[in-house]
Amino acid sequence: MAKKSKENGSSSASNNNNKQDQDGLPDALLENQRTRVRVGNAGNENTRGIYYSGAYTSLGYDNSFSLDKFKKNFKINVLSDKPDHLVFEMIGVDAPIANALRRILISEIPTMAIERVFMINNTSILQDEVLAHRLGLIPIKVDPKIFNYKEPGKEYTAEDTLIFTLKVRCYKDANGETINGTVLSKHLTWVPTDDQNEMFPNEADHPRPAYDDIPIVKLRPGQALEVQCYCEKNIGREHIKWSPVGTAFYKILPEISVSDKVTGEKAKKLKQSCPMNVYDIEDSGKAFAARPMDCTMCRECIRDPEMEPFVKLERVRDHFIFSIESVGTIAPKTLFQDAIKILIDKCSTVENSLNTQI
Amino acid sequence: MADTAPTKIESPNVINKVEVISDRPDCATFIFVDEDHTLGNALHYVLMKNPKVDFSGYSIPHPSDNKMNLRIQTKGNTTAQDAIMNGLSDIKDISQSVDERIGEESNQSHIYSDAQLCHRHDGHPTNRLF
Amino acid sequence: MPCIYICGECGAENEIKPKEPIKCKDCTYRIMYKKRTDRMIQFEAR
Repeated sequence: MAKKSKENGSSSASNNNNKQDQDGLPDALLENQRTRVRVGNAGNENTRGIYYSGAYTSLGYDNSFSLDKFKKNFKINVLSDKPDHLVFEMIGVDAPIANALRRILISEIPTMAIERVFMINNTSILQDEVLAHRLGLIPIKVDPKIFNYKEPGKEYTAEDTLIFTLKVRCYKDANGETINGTVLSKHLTWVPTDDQNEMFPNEADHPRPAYDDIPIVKLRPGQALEVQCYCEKNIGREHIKWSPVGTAFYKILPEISVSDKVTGEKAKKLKQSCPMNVYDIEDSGKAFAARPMDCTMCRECIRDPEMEPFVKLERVRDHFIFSIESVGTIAPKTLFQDAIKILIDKCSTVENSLNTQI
Repeated sequence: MADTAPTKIESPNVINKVEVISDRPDCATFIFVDEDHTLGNALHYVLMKNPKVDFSGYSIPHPSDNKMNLRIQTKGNTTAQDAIMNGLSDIKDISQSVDERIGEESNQSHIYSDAQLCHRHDGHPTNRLF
Repeated sequence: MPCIYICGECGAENEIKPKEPIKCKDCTYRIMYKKRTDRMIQFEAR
């Protein structure tokens, strides 16, 4: 085949001939353009991924989707795991899928949040509407799956609303100490309606704010607050108070290659130029990127035009470092799994809709 | 205060989710209601990856309308309907295997779940990664 | 419904009728604050 000979001709640049045949393009330059985003002084190159199935047919590479190939290449690797912050690598997916999951995490996972506020008394210095807004933003820790969406214009029911009251009075005690100087989220007390007590048999599952120490208002002695709050279920697209994440984002893996020629004074200069301290110097005096993960692509290292030919800043197109920081109501792992379910449900909805029309 | 009634969240089996405009089997424009780049770009991507699809493109004609248009043109023997069905099942397949992998990962190396979610503020050490 | 004002100086509650001078009956202080309604008010938490 003509393709084979072409591949052999250019294989001097690539290390493994057979591997190239399976996993990438035979041409090293084109393969680099396909899999990397280049960062240079003049700007970024190859930012847009090429997804067209037949884009590389003439080179003997099949760019179409295959589930087996996807499963073979796809990897997840947890980098950092804290109760409310998960960082992991997602390798082998393309941006549209990673971005869909990111968008769903931010704006389409339902949670409960305070939506209606009934002010009975508020003599604090905070205006009623500002106080109501602050109450709305408090994350409520409760399983949203057991609640329904509230239908507009309908009565509140035990299945779609949670009620909290906030009744705080600030005063000076016998020792002259101010009591309740700061109203905190722990002062919100859940008022079970109808049979909501049976909905939450375990004390640990009782609805409550995710954190006990969120300041709501400051009071002075004599000031008081009496408020009733009604929580509803909704999604972040309606208002960010329903978003279950503080941030959900990904970055693409930085890949930095330093030329062998960077030694001695030049290597020292390179190490010093990096504000994130990405580079180290080998015993042989050669500079290398020791912590590419810390790179923010500030291009400080290649700003000097003399350095640009020696340092290659790239990002691996299908290697995502995904960070999910929960607001404290649902664990990041669960959120990610929920996001996947929602994406699948979206597809099913469209399928159902199309099937009913045929 | 303006009376902003919460927009109704569609139930999973809503019928009017998609409208199909097509006068030839191999070309169609699908008009999605209440969908955005989340599904639009993902579908566009899997459609581009389908060798039987000649053209796919999506647009959100106006930010105030809750509409998303997806245009598909196919090659020869498949219809646009088949292509979109294929695309949807591709997204589902991808999602399913991502879900499996995160499940395996949390079995192998423990990942915090809901039960361990701390509810008291204990200060978050800054993460070196970011 | 009587309109009650609270004195900015001594905190006494005053009922001030139309055309009456804005002045506390106890201490003659002229800065008055309107008393909060005892009705419940509904807000949207947005």
